[in-house]
Amino acid sequence: MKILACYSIKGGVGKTATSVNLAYAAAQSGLRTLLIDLDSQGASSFYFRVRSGKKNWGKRFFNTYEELLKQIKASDYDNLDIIPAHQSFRHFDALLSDHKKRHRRLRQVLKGLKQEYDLIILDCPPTLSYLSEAVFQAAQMIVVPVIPTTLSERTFEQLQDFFRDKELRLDNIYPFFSMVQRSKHLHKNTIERMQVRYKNMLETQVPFSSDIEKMGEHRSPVACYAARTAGGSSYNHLWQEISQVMDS
Amino acid sequence: MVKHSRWLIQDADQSEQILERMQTHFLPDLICHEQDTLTFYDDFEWRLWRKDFLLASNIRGQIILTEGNDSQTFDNEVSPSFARSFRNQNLSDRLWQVSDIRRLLPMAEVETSVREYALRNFEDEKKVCKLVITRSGYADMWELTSMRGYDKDYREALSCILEAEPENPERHLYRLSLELLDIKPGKYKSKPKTKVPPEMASADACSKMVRKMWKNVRINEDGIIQDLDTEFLHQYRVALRRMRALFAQMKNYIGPEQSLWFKDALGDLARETNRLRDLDVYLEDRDYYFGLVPEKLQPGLEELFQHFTRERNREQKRVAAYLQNTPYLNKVSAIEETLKSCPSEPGEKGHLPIAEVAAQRIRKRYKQIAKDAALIHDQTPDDDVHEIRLDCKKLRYLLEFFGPVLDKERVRPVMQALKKLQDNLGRFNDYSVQRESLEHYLENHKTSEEIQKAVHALSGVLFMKQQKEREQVCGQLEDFLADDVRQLIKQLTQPTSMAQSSKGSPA
Ligand SMILES: Nc1ncnc2c1ncn2[C@@H]1O[C@H](COP(=O)(O)OP(=O)(O)O)[C@@H](O)[C@H]1O
Ligand SMILES: [Mg+2]
Repeated sequence: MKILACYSIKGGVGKTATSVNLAYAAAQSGLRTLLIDLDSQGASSFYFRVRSGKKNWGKRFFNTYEELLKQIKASDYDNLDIIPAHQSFRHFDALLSDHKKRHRRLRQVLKGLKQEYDLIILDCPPTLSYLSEAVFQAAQMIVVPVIPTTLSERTFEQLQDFFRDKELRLDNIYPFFSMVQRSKHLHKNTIERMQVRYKNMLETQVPFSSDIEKMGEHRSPVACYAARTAGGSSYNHLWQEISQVMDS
Repeated sequence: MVKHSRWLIQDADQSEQILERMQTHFLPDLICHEQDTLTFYDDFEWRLWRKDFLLASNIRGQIILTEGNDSQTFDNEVSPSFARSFRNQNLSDRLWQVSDIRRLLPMAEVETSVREYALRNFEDEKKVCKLVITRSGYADMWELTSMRGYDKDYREALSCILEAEPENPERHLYRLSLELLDIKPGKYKSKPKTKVPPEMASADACSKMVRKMWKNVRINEDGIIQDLDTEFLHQYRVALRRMRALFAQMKNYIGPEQSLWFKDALGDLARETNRLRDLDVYLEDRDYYFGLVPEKLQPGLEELFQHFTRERNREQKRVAAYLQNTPYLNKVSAIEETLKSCPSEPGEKGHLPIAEVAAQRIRKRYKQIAKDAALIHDQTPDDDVHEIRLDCKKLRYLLEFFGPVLDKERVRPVMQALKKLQDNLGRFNDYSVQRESLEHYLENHKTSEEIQKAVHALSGVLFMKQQKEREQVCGQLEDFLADDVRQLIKQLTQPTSMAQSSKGSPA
C-alpha cells in the first residue's frame, strides 16, 4: 500500500482539486483507493457528496485503524472510498500534542488499512503543524501544487526549510504547477526558473481551467463530465507520471 | 461486507410499481439500459448444466458464469471454446474442474435487457445503493447491492422492495429462462445403461444392450469429423470396444456365428482410428512426458512432439474423410441391418434368464482370476500378468453391463475393489505400451539424434515406472482375492439376491 499526500502551506492552490481527481484516476486504473479528507473544511468530501456522521469521532482518529474503518464510505465510483472530514478534525493538532510518538501516529494507524487498499490519498489542510509532520512521516510521496508566481515559489522554499529543519526526506517532495496560465509572463518565467532549480518537479502542468472550476457545480471529478478537455485530462496525465515515480 | 439481495418478479407491471414506490425514498438514476443477447455454452455431455453451472457470453465480450444461484462476470474474455483458453485463471480453473478437455459448444440464446440504476439520496444526490434489473422472457431479476457506509439506505431500499413480497428465487433467472425455452440436457451418456428385466432371455437382453451402445458410435461421428475435441473419438471407440466385449463374452448366448461377425466388423471400424487415438493421447500427455526427461533432452522431445502434431493433423483429416465415404457408410448399414435381426440364431443357452447367466459369468470370471493369480509371484513373466489384466477387464465389463440387472447397491463395492487392482495393472500395462510404441516409432521413422536420445531416456524412465507397478501387483491381487471381496461377489451373485431384485421389476 502506498500513501500519497497533497500538501501546500498555502490555501487555494488546488490541493483538493488534485486529491479528488488523482483519487479518481487511480481508482479507474484499478487501484483500490481510499481518499482521506483531513481538512475540516471538508471540500473533498463535498465534491464526492459524502458526509461524516454527526458524532464527534475526530478524537478517536489516531487510536486504531478500526476507528477509521467504521467511517469509510463508498464513493459513486468503483474502487474508490472516502473518509469524509468532520468538524472535529480542527483539533487534530491538540490531539497529537498529547501523543508520545505523534510523528509516527498517522503512519501507524494507516498501516492497518493495507489489506483493503492499494493507495491512500491524503487531502491536507494548509498548515505547518503536528498534523503536517505526521503526514510527511506517513507519505511516500508529497505532491505539492504550485501556482507559478513569485509568492508561491517562496512558500515552497519555506516548506523545504521545514523539511531540513525536521530532518525529513526532501526528495519525497514532488511539486507540480497548478492553475497555470501560459499567457501570463510571470507564470512562464516562474515555470522556466523553477524547472531548472528543482529536480523533482513533475512535468505535467495543470492549466487554469473553467472546467476544473466547475467541479463545485457538478460535485464530481472533472474527468466525469469534461474528460477530453485540457483541464479534464491533465489530472490523468499527472496520475500517470506519479504512478511511475511511485513504482520506481 | 457488501450486501446483496436478489428477487424474481414475474409481473412486469409490478416491477414498474416498485420502481415508482422507490421514488418516494430515492432518486433512481438510470445509468445504463442495454439490450443483450446471452449465448449459453456447454459441452457435448452437458456437464456444466448437470453440475449446476451455466456459462454464457454476451455481446460485450463478457463471460458470465453462474454456479447455483451466484453469478460472476468476467470482462475482456475470448469467446468460449475450451476451459483452458479463457484469459481469467479463476474462470479457466473452475471450468476445467467440470468440463476439462471438452469443447464448449453454443446451446441456446436468451435475450435480455439490463437496466442499472444508481439510487441517490435527496440531500446530496449521492449514490447510496445499486440496483440492477435484468429482464428476460421469464421474469425480471432484481438485484440490490449495498454500498459501504450506506447500510441504512440499503435497508430502506430493501423494505421498499419487500413490501411487494417478491419471490426469492431458488434458481437463477438464467436457468429458469432456459427452461422456459425448453432447453434441457440431451440423454447422451458415454456408458449408457439399458434397462432389462432380470428374467429376460439372455440373448435378447444382450441384443438390446448392444443396440443402445451402437447409438453412441453414430452420435460421436460428427464431432470427430468436425474435430471438435478428442473426446468424440475416444467415446466412439469406447462404444465399439464395449460392444465387442459384450459379443465376445456372451457369444454362446447371442449366437456364436453372429457374435463373431460383429466382433470382426466392429474391430474393423475401431482399427481405422487407432493411430489417431494414439496421437491424441500423446498430445494430451505432453506435459507428463516432458516431466519425465531431463531438461537437456527436452528439445529432442519437442521435435518429436512437433512430428506428432503434424501427423495428428494429417491423420485427423484422413479419418474425417474415411467416416464420410461410401466404404464406411456401407459397413455401417450392414451393421445396422444385422443389429435389427440380432439375435438371428441365439445360442442354445440363449433363452436362460439374463440375471442367472450374468451371475454365473461373474462368478466364473472371478474364479478364473483367482486361479491365474495363484500362479503369479514377483518373478512371473509379464505375459502372465497381462493375462490377469485381461481377466480383470472382462470382469469389469460384466459388472458394468449386468451389475444393474443383479443389484446396483451390491455392485458398487465390488467395482471399487476391482478398480484399485485395475488401476495398478492398467498403469503396468500403459508404461509398457508407451515404451513399445515409442520404440516402434523410432524403428519406422527417420529421426534426428536428439529425438532418439530423448526417446531412449523416456523409455528408461517408463521401464522403471513399470517395474514399480509390477512390485505392487501381488499385493493388489491378494487384496482383491481376500475374503471380504469374495463375500461381496458371493452376495452379488447368489440366487436370493437375484430373486429379490426381480421382484421389484416389471415382468
Ligand atoms: N486548475 C484550476 N483551474 C481553475 N480553478 C481551479 C483549478 N484548481 C482549483 N481551482 C479552483 O480554485 C479553488 C481552490 O482550489 P482547491 O483545490 O480547493 O485548493 P486548496 O485545496 O489548495 O485550498 C476552488 O474553487 C477550485 O475550484
Ligand atoms: Mg482544500
